[in-house]
Amino acid sequence: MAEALVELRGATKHFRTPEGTVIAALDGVDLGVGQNEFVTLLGPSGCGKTTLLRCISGFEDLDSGSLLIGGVSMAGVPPHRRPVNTVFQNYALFPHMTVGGNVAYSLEVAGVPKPERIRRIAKALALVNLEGMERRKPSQLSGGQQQRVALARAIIAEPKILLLDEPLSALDRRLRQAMQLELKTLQSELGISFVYVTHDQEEALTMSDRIVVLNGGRIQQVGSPAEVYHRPATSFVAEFLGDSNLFEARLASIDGGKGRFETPDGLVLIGDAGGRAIGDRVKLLLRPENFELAPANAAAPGNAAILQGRLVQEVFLGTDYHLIVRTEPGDRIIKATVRDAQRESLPQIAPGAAIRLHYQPQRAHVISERAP
Amino acid sequence: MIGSIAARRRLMLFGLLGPITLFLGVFFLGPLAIMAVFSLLEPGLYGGVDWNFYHWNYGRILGWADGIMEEFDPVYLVIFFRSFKLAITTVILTFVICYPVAFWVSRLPGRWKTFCLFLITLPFFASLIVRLYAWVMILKPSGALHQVLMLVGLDIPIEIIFTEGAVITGMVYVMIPFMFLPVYASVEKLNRALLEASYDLGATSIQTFLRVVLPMTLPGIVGGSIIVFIPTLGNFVIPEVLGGAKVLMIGNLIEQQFLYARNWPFGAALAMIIMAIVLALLFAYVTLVLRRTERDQGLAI
Repeated sequence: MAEALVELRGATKHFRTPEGTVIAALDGVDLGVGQNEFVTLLGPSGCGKTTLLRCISGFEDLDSGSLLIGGVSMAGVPPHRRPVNTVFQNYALFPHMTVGGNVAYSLEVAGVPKPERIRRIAKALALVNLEGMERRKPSQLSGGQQQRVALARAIIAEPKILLLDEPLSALDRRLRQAMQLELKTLQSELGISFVYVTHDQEEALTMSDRIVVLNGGRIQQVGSPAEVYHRPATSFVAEFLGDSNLFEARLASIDGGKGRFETPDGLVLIGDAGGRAIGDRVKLLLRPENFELAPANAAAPGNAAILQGRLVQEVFLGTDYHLIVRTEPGDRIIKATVRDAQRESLPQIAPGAAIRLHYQPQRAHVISERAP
Repeated sequence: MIGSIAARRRLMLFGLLGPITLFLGVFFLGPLAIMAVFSLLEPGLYGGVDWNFYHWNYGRILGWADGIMEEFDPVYLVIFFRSFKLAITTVILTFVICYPVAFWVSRLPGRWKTFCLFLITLPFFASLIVRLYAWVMILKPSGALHQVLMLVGLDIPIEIIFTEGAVITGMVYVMIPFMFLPVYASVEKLNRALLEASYDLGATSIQTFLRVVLPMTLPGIVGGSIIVFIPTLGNFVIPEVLGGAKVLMIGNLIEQQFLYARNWPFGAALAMIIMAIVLALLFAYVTLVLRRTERDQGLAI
């Protein structure tokens, strides 16, 4: 990243709860957002993602640390002087104004003359596919259309950064997926940086250039969608994004770069040793789709590792089967997802049957336990 | 059975609306019609009416004498003018007092909010007359206000009682709850996210107030103004107690005509005129406000 458009250094923000305790909404956050980048702040509710967004837009002040936008410190700069615009969670459209009035609001308060306003409204509405809606009232529009008006209103003044606070959470699933694609397209067309807040991991994976995973006011991991999905830095990230099987284990022996990890309940797993020493405690992540299904007595293909177990239950999902398996030894429940064709080629396997799950050791992701 | 549901519904509508229609018809429209008729009749020599058409009741109000016993005298127009001035002043003062307080109360935590609303309605628990005499005690030359000023070392003679100032003080005091409640209702409904959206889009506090806060709370302001204006204009108790004989308002005038002068037709004419003026003003006010907001909404692009 050459020049960071938004730069947060050691950002800290505390809130006092009604009970009198103090919680850290942001706890030493360092983050840079580059030009023309789609960055998603992802985390469960209360992780600090919305607070982070509100600190950038200026509705909250940092307790300590610094925020620079375009290289300029934003300390003491009120929201209306910051070069950012926000798409609010419930749109916050002005109900007493028309769509045109809403979209042109920022131009009007800035004193842009009317002919130019009208021209730019048309352009902004065209960008969000709402041509000719200028004279409607927000209340006459559907949720998806209101969402587009909010978007047009936020981009008409051509801010350097657009902040989006869970903008799709009020839409139904189908519309949400369509809007995800549109937002991504819009972002690359406009060349504006988007900072997008969501708790929906699917949304984050679909749209982002980079995902910032937050928990308890701290950044857990920053990386591309593939990075945070396949190589989560912490067990929190592993569990928050996608389905996961996490095994607490100890590195027992190393053989040619491959480590032999043992869990306390006797399971043996194979994964990348990656410079760890024997005796190290780790967490081993296997995604459900890392597994392949085989009968109990089948031979392992190539260098695949094996997990023995018994099929507890299965759910048909359309293109996949979702399997619930109880491991032997260990007696723990794990999830595996296998393709239709594979499952249906093994009709002899029924719930209760002993089975084998194969996985490629390089697929097993090893997470080092943090020093307490 | 066909049509039975519709029939029952019609019956229910009659049942629900019948009593109030009957009540208002008999006790509101009836007297109003009597007043309208009486205002065009000649006053009887010893009260009551003589059944002759007589338009001088209205002429007298506008200052024209009946040509026989009276000369041109706009005394009633002066009273009209004063009444409107006091009513408008009361509306403006109650608004100026209530609007900021409404914002303050709406920001309070739930329990305190309820408590403040309770405080606003507290005056209704005591008789109006008693409360007005309390104001007499406060405002009279050696009253509570004077004594408090003496305590802090200010020996200023207090000559407020029986002036327009005293009447306005009383009116504002009595009318504050009527302005506060509708204004508070609209302020409370105001979505704070809209204010943030406005700031976010580059508007200053003043721009946000003028373009978002004011238009969105306008219905409450209009409602409060009307609810304060009408009873203030016709009020005769407050000017009587706090204004003495010096500050006569239309309400007092009408009361005098009916109860003491026993000139019912003239009293009726006064009441009809004031009603016509109030209706015309309200109509103009509401249309103006509505058209203004409509224009703001429609063309502010």
